[in-house]
Amino acid sequence: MTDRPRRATPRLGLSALELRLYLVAVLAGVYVLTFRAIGRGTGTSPSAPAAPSSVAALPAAIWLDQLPAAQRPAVVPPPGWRLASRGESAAASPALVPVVVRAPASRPLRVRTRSS
Amino acid sequence: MRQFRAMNTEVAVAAPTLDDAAEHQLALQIASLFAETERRFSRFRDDSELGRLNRTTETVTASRALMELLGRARQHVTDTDGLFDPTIGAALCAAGYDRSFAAGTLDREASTTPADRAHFAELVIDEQARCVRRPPHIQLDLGGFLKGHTVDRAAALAPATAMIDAGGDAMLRGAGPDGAGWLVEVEDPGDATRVLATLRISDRAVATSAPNRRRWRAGRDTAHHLIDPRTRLPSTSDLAQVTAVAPTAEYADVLAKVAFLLGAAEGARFLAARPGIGGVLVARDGSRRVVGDLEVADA
Repeated sequence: MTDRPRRATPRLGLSALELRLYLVAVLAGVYVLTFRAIGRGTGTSPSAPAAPSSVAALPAAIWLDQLPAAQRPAVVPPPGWRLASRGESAAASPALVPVVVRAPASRPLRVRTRSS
Repeated sequence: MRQFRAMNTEVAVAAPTLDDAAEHQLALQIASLFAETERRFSRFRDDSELGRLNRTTETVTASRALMELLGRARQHVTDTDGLFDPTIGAALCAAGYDRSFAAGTLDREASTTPADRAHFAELVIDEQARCVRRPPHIQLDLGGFLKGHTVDRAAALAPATAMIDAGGDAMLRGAGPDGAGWLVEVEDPGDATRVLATLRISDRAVATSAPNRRRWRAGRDTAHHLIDPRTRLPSTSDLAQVTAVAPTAEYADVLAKVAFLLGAAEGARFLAARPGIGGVLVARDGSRRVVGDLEVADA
């Protein structure tokens, strides 16, 4: 009877803890690479839905007088306010004219002088 | 009669000889004038010409309108020996009047301290070049003077019989609706529901100065807007109110203010010494005195 020499089992020389750490690092690397690949794929995907052309064509803001008269909403500013013209800034605009109203009928046609 | 709000007060316009539409049109014109004047010369607006002048110590080019106002102010400063002085802006701010007035909004814990001494003559004004330079300690406030001036300009737009009343500073053109003079009620400074006297005024203006409305709490004291340029503090006059009648609202405003600062005795002499000027002086103790050229309808 002849004894065959037993094949030596290759040894990694790693402890169980080191092996677990190695596996965790490999899995984390795979996860990161996969995540980045998915992210790039989404951003460049030719199948991404495009905004409807009708919405994309609309500007973010529009002046009332740019709208066709029939589509203009009725805007009623509060007393003392008015709608500005295009290109008009508050500082450069002429002073807003105060609202002029009829004096109450009870007010007599005379002056009450006082400090004001 | 039409009315609108401007310069933090109610403005009324009446032109009895005009029809309704024409009176409304006139009031719109006058409202526009008030708004434009306020936009240009209010010290409370950062974008006003006066606001810009009050922010810089560089020499600035002034508009013709500002130059005219400064020129007129200088005449009043001279005429009143400096008791009228629009360079009290810093004193008003030091007293707490640093924003447009509304009841209760200026109340504060700090008491009032005087600002640095200021005088109109310290402004450097080059009339030829239309340039103005302001020393750092001076702030301009055109206040009631500007309101009176605007009333006069508004009256120039009106027909021969008209009333322009800006919160009691008024120009009365003609002899009123019945031809006997416009009726002007002098309010009781101690009770706004009462009238102390009723005057009849034709082709003249009226203005009143009193500390009973524009006042606020400053520490344990009460401060008000009638600054005495001699002390740079709210006046401690023995008067409660002065009403002045003069050819223009601008002049009436200046006279009422100065007579108030001078006090009962000096103030009465000051008004009486000026031809064509009338006044009603109300002392703190409630006594009143009518001086100068005035027709009192009842008292």
